[in-house]
Amino acid sequence: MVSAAVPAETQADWAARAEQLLRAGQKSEGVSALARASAAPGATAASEDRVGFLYAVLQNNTEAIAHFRKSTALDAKYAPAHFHLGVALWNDGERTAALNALQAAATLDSQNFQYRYRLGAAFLRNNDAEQAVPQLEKAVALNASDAAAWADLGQALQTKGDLARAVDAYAKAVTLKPGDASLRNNYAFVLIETRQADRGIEESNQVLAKNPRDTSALMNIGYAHLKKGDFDAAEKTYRALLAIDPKSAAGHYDLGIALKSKDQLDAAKAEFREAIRLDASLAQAHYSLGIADWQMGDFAGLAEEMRAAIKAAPGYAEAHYMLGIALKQNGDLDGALGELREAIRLDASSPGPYNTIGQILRQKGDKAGSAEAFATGARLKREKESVLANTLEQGMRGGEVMKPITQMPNQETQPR
Amino acid sequence: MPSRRSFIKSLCATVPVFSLDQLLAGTPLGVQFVNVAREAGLRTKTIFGAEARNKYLLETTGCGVAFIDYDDDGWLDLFFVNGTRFEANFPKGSEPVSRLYKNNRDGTFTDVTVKAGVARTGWGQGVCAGDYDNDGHTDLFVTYWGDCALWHNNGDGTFTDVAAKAGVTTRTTGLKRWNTGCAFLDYDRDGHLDLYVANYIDFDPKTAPLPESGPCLYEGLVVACGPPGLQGGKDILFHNNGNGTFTDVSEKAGILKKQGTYGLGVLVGDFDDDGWPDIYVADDSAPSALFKNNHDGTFTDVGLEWGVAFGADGKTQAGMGVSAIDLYGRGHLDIVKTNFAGDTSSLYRNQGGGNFEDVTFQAGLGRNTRFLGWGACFLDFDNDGRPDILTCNGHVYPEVREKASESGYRERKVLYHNLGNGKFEDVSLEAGPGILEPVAGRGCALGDFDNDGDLDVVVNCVNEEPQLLRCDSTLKHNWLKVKTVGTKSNRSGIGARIFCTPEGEHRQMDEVRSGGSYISQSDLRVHFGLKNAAKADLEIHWPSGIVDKVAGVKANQVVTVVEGKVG
Repeated sequence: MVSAAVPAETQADWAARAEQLLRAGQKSEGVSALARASAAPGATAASEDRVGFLYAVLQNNTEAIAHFRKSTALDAKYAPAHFHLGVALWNDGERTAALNALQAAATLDSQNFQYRYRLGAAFLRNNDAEQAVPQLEKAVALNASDAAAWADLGQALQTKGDLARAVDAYAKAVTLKPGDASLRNNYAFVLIETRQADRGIEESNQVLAKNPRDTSALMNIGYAHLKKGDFDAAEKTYRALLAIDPKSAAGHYDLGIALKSKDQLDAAKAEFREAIRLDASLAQAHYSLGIADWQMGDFAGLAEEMRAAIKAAPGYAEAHYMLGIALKQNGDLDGALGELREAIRLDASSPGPYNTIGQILRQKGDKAGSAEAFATGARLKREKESVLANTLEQGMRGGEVMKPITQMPNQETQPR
Repeated sequence: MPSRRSFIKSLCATVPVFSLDQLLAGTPLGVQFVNVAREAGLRTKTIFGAEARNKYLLETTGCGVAFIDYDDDGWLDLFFVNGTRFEANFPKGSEPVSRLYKNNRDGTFTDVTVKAGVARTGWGQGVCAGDYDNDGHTDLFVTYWGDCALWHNNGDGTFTDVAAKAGVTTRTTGLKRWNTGCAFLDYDRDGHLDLYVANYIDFDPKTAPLPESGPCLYEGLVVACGPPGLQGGKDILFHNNGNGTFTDVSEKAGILKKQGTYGLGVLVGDFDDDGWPDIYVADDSAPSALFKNNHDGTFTDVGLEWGVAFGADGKTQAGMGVSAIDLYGRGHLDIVKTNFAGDTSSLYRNQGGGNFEDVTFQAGLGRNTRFLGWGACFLDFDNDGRPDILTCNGHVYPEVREKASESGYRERKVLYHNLGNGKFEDVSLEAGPGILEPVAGRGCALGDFDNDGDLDVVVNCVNEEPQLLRCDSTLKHNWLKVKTVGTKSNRSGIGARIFCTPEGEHRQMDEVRSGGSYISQSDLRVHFGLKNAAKADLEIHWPSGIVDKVAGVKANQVVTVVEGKVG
């Protein structure tokens, strides 16, 4: 047993004493010593940081943050305090302040892997992949053997849309931590997304070899088959997944996509409905169910499901677009115009809504408005073609830029 | 005694558990399509690019085919356009050539290619027919990547390529053009057939991107690049000078102001019922064009305004083949167009007055998205007076053979039966082995090669033998074919609008048409199914403005109508 009676003079002494007691499991004595430390003389940036750290360990975030702040006030260049303050603020939900503190730590000690990595990870979890990537890149440059950092970098690059580099990052992470199924599943997913479906299947099969009931791996394999256009194999995979987890809304949805791709519309609709029953917020399932209704000539069903998709995901541009199509078909031209304009507000890059608006305005006798809408649609199409042509001239490094047009919306249509 | 239709309606009224659609859909077809190509002697494989992997899109688009009666004996002959390969050294004299087969009138054909003088090799594409010099013999125009051929029918069983002399090789700029669909039409109604030629891509193998350069990918497979991202070609309109020569009037006529590019199928028809031929062009990966004839030698692309440029959702499609007919008996030409896999074929209902409605989904064509369509035909296969729809399919990329994807490289056809209520039922699975046999189909054309009264189908395939789908019907429905001979109008009567009213049935309408489907030529004689009617009244509106009426024409015959010589 550690004696609490040993004299301690300065804050650093009391902090050391508190730590010693806490490590020995003497929590109440440790907390008392920590209270003494808070009021002890001779505070330095390091000692305030130490006190704050111990409060953080005791999950007293308020006290911890107060001491970290005192530490940084005493010495604005003391990097550990900024770092600890950032972590504590993050845990307290103060994300902006946390990011500022983490940024300060990383700036003050630019060669510290932890500071850099935590800053990058915080940006990533704050949905700011743009800022996360450079921090995580610096982090892995400082320490190339940290699987979590590589994994976060992979995720950040994936979020940013830089899939080719995401593949490389995930590959490093998997090499460092080969037994991590979650990591492998993420890796498999980006492989599939980068048109390496067969490699994605290989990775997923490695996960399944250890755990045949890993539904994420099965989901990836099914997705790979969809990407390859092998709808029979996709259907088989999703059915295997649902045998393990019959309540997987995503599994039913994806099975519906496979069946719809095979033009088995009634069966596909049943799966979409089951997905919705399991998870009414699954906007894509409503969307796909509506498209299947449309294919079968049911415009009322199309409208109903698009409304449900919008309710589940209010920013779903494609659903507003298709609702506009349904309303146009049902003769509600003004309603259609409203939905199409909302689709454009959410995503102004698609020529389709403009073309449909052009047709509606012509029906309404507004020739000038119709011509303007058609002209905008044509301009947007030219712009897209120009991008394609430029990409082609540059060697088409973008990959699937030359894919011919296929019209029917599929699982790749995502709510924004 | 009530007709079958009225019986069904009364049944529906009392037994609501069944819908009319269900009952109509359950009617047995009574028709089988059987591929008799080999027995008929059509055993020459069409060569078109490499069989396993293609470097260029040029190797994928395939060829058209024509049903024509070149010797005017009343029996349809066949002309198959042929292609070639980039890296093949065919022995001298063994190069693939386009082939002409003479109908032996016994269900077989004789290859008369060499005798007829049409043995030409090259990257053949499409074909269209018409008597461009009004000498009474049907001529052929054959498009190529490169110089096109205008095969003048000499009337003695031989042809002479007069394209250079006539000024229609299309090499006006000194560069090879990728010409595709074509059609003869008399756009200025001067009695001489003019010529429209669609162009696909400005293609030069020296500069064209290779599949690996991207890579250009389709569902993970490295495939030929394009058409998006490549420079589109410009269509051409040739005016017939009336002296055996033509003049390129594309610019003057407004053809170069087309909204889209990548032209493939060409369809001519009077889509606004004003008596002047308009031109619809199925563009790949671009808005399709409808050139409205302005009656002054110029055209305006009104595809966007009239609602036939895009799919039902306003998105661009990959148009391939096209066909037109008065589908609903309202005196307007409706349009069907085939598109890429993952999309549906498109059905545009002509509302009149320059308005079309996309009724693809209402009509039941939205249920099939897995086929990649090329040839597109309206055909009344059961002669019930209601035009049905046939699409000839096959994937673009031979590389898809490597995987079990979609419907594969070789695909079956899709046959839609017109239920008479605005809806169609996919009856492919009941329509016989010829429909179900998977092939890499491209151009297809219609004609009654055995003169038994029902419409047969010929299909030109990529790197395999053609199909000749004989229609075997047990329905005993009546029919009528109309052969037009123009006197003031062009001799072929191309552009003549024919109304046929079978006794006790609704009025039908179609036009004498050059080109159509996917870069192919169907029989120039216009076919009508009469169902049980023993006779029909005909009304022919000639391009000259003359209207001929023939009352009480007996069923089951080919009736020849000479312009202005009726009665």
